[in-house]
Amino acid sequence: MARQQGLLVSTFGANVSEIVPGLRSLPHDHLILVVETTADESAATAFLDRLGVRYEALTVDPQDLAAAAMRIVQRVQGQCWKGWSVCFDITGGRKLLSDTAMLAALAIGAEVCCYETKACRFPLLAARGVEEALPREIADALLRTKWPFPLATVQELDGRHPLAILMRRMREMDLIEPTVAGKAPALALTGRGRACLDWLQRMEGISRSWE
Amino acid sequence: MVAILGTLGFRARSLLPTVESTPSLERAVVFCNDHPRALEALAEVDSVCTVMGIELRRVAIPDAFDLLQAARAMRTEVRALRRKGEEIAVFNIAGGTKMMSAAALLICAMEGLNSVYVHDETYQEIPLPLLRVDYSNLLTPAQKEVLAFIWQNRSRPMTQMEIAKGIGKHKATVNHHIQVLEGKGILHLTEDAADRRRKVVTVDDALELMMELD
Repeated sequence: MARQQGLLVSTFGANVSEIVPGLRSLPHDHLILVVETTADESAATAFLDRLGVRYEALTVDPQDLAAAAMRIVQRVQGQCWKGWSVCFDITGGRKLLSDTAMLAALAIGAEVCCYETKACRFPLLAARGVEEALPREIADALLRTKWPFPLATVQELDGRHPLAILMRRMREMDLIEPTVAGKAPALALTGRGRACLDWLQRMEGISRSWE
Repeated sequence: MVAILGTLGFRARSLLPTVESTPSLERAVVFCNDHPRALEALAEVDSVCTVMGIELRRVAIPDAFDLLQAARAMRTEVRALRRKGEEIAVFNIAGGTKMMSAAALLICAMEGLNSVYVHDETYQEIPLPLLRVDYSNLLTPAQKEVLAFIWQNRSRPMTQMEIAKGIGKHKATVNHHIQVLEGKGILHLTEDAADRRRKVVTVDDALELMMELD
């Protein structure tokens, strides 16, 4: 049986020492250095070149945390589909960059490691990602519905009607909430619902994980 | 009672937008360490909360660079609030060290909490696309039994044979579970430091948090 290939995604700020513990202890065949647009990664690339490590730099702007996380997800998903194991080392860089990588790891379901004071690994994160926690029918409903949605339309339906069930599930997941649109009661997206919809819309051009 | 949670570092402004924007807010729970500048920021948050009639509670994180310690403290607090029937509106992850912030993100995914961060320059709140993932339910009962036994005996790493004896199951059955769990990266087979001929099973400290073994 072929050995599973490994992808290591490391956040990088300014110091090479931030990525060394991960490089040494996390088995990998390819390294992605996640760096900020303003960062100078030349020290790291010179070091990696000397070591002969296969790597690439992925530039993100963590000020837009969700967009930056999505950029990482887009880059990593290809390898996930090929069956590679993916591990994120969030030790390097500033807080926002680590948050970006953490959000990406949680979204796709990848192991997270950090070496701030002592080595810490979160293995079970690799079992399932947030994208899989959003069932396809819910994702489709989020994408295709025009929000806010008139509450009267749902109230007219039998409780077992698929749309009524779908709306209840979305409410339970805190994706929608009752509101008033114009003068009529309606169901509108919550902050989480808007964030998930934004994520789905940006990912729609790319094949989604459940397809 | 409506509560918010927040990590706090040196800037009160990373948390205040959430205090101000949460409707019917009655309690703010803040995670921060003992650094004088963090305590200054806490005092500033406290003064705003006092004016708004919001109760402020601080949960001390002794080591703000220990991700696991911070995550444990946060989960304990979330569970305690829920037991009291309090509604947690949102978890603001913008303040504190990067390990505190990462711990907060992890707890939001584990507990299904709404999460926001606050933009460094505009101080605008931005919700994050996180949903609940129940990691403790991703393994079979038999796999959990094996892991729980290994966790309880983690001070004395054991071979697969010793684990099989310990839980009273056939060696082949336990070996199968251990292979599957190793394949998922949940445990590791390593050489025993005292006797390199022996391969022992080890687990990461974070397993306790993820599997709810505590």
